[in-house]
Amino acid sequence: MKQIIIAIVIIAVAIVAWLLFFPSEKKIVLKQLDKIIESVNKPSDEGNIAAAAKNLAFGALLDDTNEISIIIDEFPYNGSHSSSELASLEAQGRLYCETIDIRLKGADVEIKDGVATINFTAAFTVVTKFGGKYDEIRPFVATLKKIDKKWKFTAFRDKQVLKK
Amino acid sequence: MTEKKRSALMNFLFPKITLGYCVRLICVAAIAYGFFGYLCKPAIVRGASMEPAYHDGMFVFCWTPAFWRRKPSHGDVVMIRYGSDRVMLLKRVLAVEGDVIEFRDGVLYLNNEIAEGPWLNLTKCDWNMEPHTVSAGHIYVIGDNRSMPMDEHIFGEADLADVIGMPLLQ
Repeated sequence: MKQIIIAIVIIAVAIVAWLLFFPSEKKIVLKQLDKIIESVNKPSDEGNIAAAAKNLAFGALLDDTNEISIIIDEFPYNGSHSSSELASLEAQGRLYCETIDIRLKGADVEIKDGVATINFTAAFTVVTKFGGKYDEIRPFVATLKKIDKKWKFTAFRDKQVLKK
Repeated sequence: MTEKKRSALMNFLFPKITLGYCVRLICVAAIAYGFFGYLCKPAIVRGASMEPAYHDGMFVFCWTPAFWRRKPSHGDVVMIRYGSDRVMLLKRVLAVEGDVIEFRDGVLYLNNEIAEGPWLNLTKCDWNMEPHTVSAGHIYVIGDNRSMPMDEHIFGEADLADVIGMPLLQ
């Protein structure tokens, strides 16, 4: 009896270890989403070095072989941009903001024909340097492609759940 | 407490870990995961758009089998996927596919006739909206709290594929 219980515990530990050390592609894609959110977030006490490091991290997460498409309602940088152009726009945009706080509320990943699509809902709290405050929850769709064994973002768009 | 009762209580609180106990534990965990993860999803209401029926902070369960055998109809409260499955919109169905919905000075018109139902006048409303024909495979949803300005309210046509279920105990 004791041996059976020990065997069950060992199998459970092995499964957990396997899942931790060899994450699924879906988990790797979600990790990329966490990283890009982290690279956009801005605490009020962020220094120049931290801002530069975040900007580099943001650029590294984007597809540098094609233009990245952005279609988001009321977003000032809609259109197609190269990764370096978008990284520069992101740096400019962050300068206008005192704080940016993006929280992921939920995300579903689907991988098909080498393209990963993330349907996610994010909560934003943005305070601009001019005192404006935006607080909302919106659904988005991000698309990623595997380039040099790494998942990179190729498009962002907002998802219209309710059409007026 | 008799010795027998105490022993039963101790057995209940600190059971002997046997193979049968492990199997029961795994079965209960699997059933609970399936039931609360897919069939009866717990959720917390945020916001006032469904006042007075659903309050901010209220705890509800989303019953997903509700629309397995039928489509949502007028007056049903539905929970709609908002991006991911973990965030849902709680709204009331006011029109279904093919209906023409319109607001005139806060009065809801369906197919050019004043709509009727106990859920229609829960709050005061002065909305005006042009007639809108609901597309095939869609429903038109609006929150019950129409005392708030129209542009602060999330409402519109939702794809039936995005309807996850309905709250239990409406």
